[in-house]
Amino acid sequence: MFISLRAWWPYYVMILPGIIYFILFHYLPIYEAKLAFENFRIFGDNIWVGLDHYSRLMTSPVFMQVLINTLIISAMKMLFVFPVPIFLALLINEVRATGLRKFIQSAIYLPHFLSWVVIAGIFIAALSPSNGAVNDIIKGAGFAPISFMTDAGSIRWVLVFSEIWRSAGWDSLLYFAAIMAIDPQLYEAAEMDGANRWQKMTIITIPGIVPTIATLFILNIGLFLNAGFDQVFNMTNDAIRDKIDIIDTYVYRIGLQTGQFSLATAAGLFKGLIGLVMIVGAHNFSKKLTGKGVW
Amino acid sequence: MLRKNTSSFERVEQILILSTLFLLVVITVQPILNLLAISLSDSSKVPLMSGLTIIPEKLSFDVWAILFQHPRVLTGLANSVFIAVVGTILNVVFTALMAWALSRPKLPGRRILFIFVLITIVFEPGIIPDFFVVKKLGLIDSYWSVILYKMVNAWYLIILIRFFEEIPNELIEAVELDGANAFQVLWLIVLPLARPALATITLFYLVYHWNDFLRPMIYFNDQDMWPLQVVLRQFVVEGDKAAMVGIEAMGNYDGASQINMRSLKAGMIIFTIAPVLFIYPLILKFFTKGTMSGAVK
Amino acid sequence: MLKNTLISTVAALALLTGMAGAVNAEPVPVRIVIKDVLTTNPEDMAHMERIEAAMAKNGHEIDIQLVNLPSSGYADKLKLMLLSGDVPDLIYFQGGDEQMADQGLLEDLQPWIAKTEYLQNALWPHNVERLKNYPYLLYPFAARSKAPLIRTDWLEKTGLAAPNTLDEFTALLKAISVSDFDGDGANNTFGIMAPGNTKELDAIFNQAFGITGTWMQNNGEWVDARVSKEERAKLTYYRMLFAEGILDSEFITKNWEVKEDDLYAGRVGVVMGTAGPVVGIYREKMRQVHPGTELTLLLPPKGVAQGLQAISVSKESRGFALSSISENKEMVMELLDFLASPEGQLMERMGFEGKHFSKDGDKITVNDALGSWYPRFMVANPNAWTPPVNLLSPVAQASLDQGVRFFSADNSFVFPADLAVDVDAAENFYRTAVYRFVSGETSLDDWDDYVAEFNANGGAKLIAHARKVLK
Repeated sequence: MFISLRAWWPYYVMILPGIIYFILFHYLPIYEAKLAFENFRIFGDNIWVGLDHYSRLMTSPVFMQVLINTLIISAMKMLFVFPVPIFLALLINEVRATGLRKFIQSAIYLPHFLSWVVIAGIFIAALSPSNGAVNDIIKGAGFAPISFMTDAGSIRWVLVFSEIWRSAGWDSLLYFAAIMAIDPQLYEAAEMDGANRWQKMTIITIPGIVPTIATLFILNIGLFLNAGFDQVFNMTNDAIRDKIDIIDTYVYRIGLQTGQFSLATAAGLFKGLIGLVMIVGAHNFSKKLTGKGVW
Repeated sequence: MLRKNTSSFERVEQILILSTLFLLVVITVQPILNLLAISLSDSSKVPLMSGLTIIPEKLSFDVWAILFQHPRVLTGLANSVFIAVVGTILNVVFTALMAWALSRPKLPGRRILFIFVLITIVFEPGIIPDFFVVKKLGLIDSYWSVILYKMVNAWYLIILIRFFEEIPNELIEAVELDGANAFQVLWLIVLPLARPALATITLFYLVYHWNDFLRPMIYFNDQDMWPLQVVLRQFVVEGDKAAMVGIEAMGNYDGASQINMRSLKAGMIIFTIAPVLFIYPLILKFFTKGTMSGAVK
Repeated sequence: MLKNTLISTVAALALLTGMAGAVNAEPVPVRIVIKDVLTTNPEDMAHMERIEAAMAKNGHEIDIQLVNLPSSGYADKLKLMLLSGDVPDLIYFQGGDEQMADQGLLEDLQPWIAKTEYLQNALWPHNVERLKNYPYLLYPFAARSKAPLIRTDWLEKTGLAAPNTLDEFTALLKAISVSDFDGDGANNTFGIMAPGNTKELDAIFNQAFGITGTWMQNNGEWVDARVSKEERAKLTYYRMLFAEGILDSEFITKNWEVKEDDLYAGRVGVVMGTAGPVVGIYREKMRQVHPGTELTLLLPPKGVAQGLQAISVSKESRGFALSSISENKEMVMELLDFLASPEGQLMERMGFEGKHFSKDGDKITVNDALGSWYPRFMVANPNAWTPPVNLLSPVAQASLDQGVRFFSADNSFVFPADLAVDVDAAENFYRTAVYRFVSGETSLDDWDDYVAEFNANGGAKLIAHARKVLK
C-alpha cells in the first residue's frame, strides 16, 4: 500500500495546485454561504435563523408553479437543446472542404458572444406578429400570425429555440473535438469494407463520441434547477410570466423587494443539494447501463 | 480522404447537409450584420431601421469614433488581453495536470477527489460569499482575483479527463516501461494526442475570461484595471441613464442628442466580439484528424 | 492640488479676517459615495473643489473625499462595500437602504434637517412627506411624474384641439390610429403605447377613472385599488383601446427603448415621458430625426377627476443617507445646507461659468454644454431658489409644472419583509390578468373570478394588513 502511494506521488503533486484552488475559491465560499441560515448583521454577529429563509421561499402562493416551470423548462432543454450540438458536429464533420467547414464553424458560434438582452431584442423583433420575419413567412404561407412571445403555449418553445440558436454552434465544438480524436484507421478499415457515409457515422463516429455525450449529459443533470436566469429575465413579459417564472427569477424578485441576500444564498444551496442528488443518480444509472459514469 | 465512387445519392446528401448548414449560417450571422449596419448608420436614421436590414443607412462612423476615442477603451483592451492570456495559460496548465492525474484509473483516492470536484459544480454559492472570500484573501483590486477565479473549471476538467481516458493504455504503458515519469508521459504522449481537446478548453477558458464582466466589475474599484467588457458596459450604462428615466441622471447623457443609443450599443457589441473572431481560426488549426494514429506507430 | 488650493484659500481667509486662531488647520474629512461621481472625472473633482473653497469661506473647513463607485452594478457594489464594514459618511442609495436602516446604520435625518438654514426650505413637498414616513433617505429633486406627449405637427394634422376631457382624448388617439400621418402608405400607426405593461397608461388615466391611490375606500372599508370597481372601468376602457387598434397591440413585449424609437419613427402618436429633462431629451431626439418638429404636452384626460397618478410618499426610493457611525455628521449637514443655499444651487444647477453658462455683466446665457451638466446632490424647490435663466426647453419646463400642478400623495406604505412573497404573487397575478383582460383573452364579465383569484394569490393577506395600517 505504501509502496503504491509512493509510486503515485508525482500525480498528487500535479493535483495539489488544483486542490488548493478548489478549497480557496469554492469551499471557502461554500462555508461563507452559511449565511443562508443567518440574518446578516454589520455590527456584531449574524443572527442564526435556521430554515426561516427556506420557509419564506416556499410559503409563497406561486412557489409550486415556479418549481414546476423550472422542471418543465429544464426537461425541455435537456430533451431538445442538448442533442442539437451533437447533430451539428456530425453534420459539420461531413463537410469535406476544410475552408468551408471553418467558415461555417466560425459563423455559427458567433451568437455565443451576444448577451441575452440583445438576443431577447432580436427574438422579440423576429417573432413580432405584425412585422416579424417569422410571421411574415407564416402569413405568406396563408396562415394566421402567431404571437409567440405572449402565447402561453409557445413561449417555452421560444426559450428552447433561442437557447439552441445561442449555444448550439458553440457547444458543437466540443463534440467536434471528440470526433477529431477518433482514430482515422477505423474509418479506413470501414471504407475498405465498403461502408457508406451513413454506416461510418453510425458505426464509428457516434460510438466514438458517446463517452463525451454521457459525461456532458450527467454534468448538465447536476444543473437541472438552473433553467437560465438571464434568458428568462430578458424574455419574460406579463402575458406569460406565470409560464416561465423559474426559481432564479423568482428569488431575484423577492430578494430585490426585501434586500435580503441570505434568501438568494438559501436558494443557491437548495439548488445545489438537488443538483448533487441528481448528478449522483445519473452517474449510477449510467454506470449500471453502460458501465461508465463520470468517475 | 479520397472517395472511390461518389454516387448521385451521396451528392444529394451533400447538398442537403450544405444547405442545412448554410441556412444556420444565415440565421446566426444576419443579426450580427444587422448590429454592424446599425453601428455604421447615421443616428437620425437608426430609429427607422428594422432588425432585418444589413445595409447601413447614411453611412456614419460617429459611433466607432467615440469607441476609439474613449480614454478607457485602449486600457480596457490591454487589461482584457492581459487577464485573458495570463488566466488562460494558468487555466490550461493546472487543468491539464489535474486531469492527467485523475484520468489514471488506479490512482488511490480518485473517487473521493472526483466527488470533491463535482460538489463545486453543483454548489455555486453566488457572488456574495465569493466576495467575502476574495476580500479575506486580500485580492480586492488585484488582477489575481479574476485571473484565479475558475483557475480549474470543474466542468472543463472532467471533460478533459474524459478525453485523456480515450488515449490507448498500451501507449502509456509502453512509454512508462521505457522509464518515463508521470510528467514526461503527459508531455510526450498525452498532450500531443489530446490536441483538439486542449484547443477546445483553451478557447473555452479564453472566451470565459474575455466575456467576464461581473467579477472584474465587483472586484476592481480602480477603473484603470477594468477590462474591456466592464469599460464598454459602463460606457453604455452611463449613456443610458436619461433614457432609463432618472432626472438626476440626465446630465451624463453626454452627446445624447447626437448619438443614438441603439447605434452605440450595437457598435460596442461588435467591438467586443471582433478580437475573439481572430482567435477562432487559430484554434481551429488544432482540429486535425489523425493525431492518435500518428503516435501509435 | 486640491490640498494646495485649500491651504491657500485658508491662508488668504485667515489673513483677510484676522481669524487665524479660530480657523482649524485640519479640514474635516467627509467621505461621500455617489453613483458615478468619481475622482477620475475632472468635472466632478473641480465641482467638489469649488464647494470646498466656498464652504471654507463660510468657515466650514471640509475635505470632501469621493469614494469611487461607478454606475455598473452600483447597488450591488455599495451593498458589498457597506456589509464588509466600509461605511462612508454620506451615502447615495439606489435600493437596498432598508436593510441598512433596519440595522441602525442610517441616521434619522429629521432632527438634523430641522437645524439647517437653507436645506429645510429647499425640500419639495413630497420630500417632507416621505421623510415623515421614512426618515433615513433624502432625495431633494422634483417628484417623478409622467407627461403625455404628442408631435405638434400630428396634433395639428388631426384638426382637433388639444384634448381636455377623456372623450376628447380618446378621439385624438382614435384619429391618429386611423390616419397615416407618417405617410408610409400603411395603416400601422397606433394612438398610444406603454412599454411592457399598463403602468404608463395608469399615470394619466387612473384619476380619470377615479382611482385616487393604492388603497381605496368602498363603503367605509379599505380595498386594494387593483380589485376596485374603478379599476374594472379603467380596464374596460383599455380593452376598448386595444380592440379598436388604438393601443399598440404589441405593447407587452416592448421596452422603453422601442417606445422612443416608435415615437421618433412615427409608429405611435402619444407616449409618456418623465417630466423634466427627459422630456427635453425626447424633444431633442425628435428634432434630430424630423428637423423642426416640436412636441406638445397634453393634459391628463378629465373623467371622474383630472390629474396624474398619485405619487407614493411612503419613502424615497433612492437618495442620500447619513451614516449613523459617521464622526462628522455636523459637517455632512453643513455640506448639504450649503448645497441648498443660493450659492450652492448656482453651482449645482448651472455648472461652470464659461463652460456651461456665460456671464456678460448681469446677463447670463446658457451654453450648449449645459446639456451635459447635471446636479450631483440636489435641485431646490422653486420657492427656495430659481435659476436666473430658463434651463429647460418650454415643453420640458411645462411638463415639470404640470407635475407640480397635478401632484397628489398616494396612501401606499412599505410592507414588512415577511409579506414580500405575497406582494410579489399579487402583483404578478394582477399584471398577467390585466394583459389578459386588455387583450381580450379573458372577458371582463369574469371580474368576480379575477377578484377571488387575486385574493388567493396573496391579495387577501395584503388587504388584511392594510386595514391594520390605514385608519
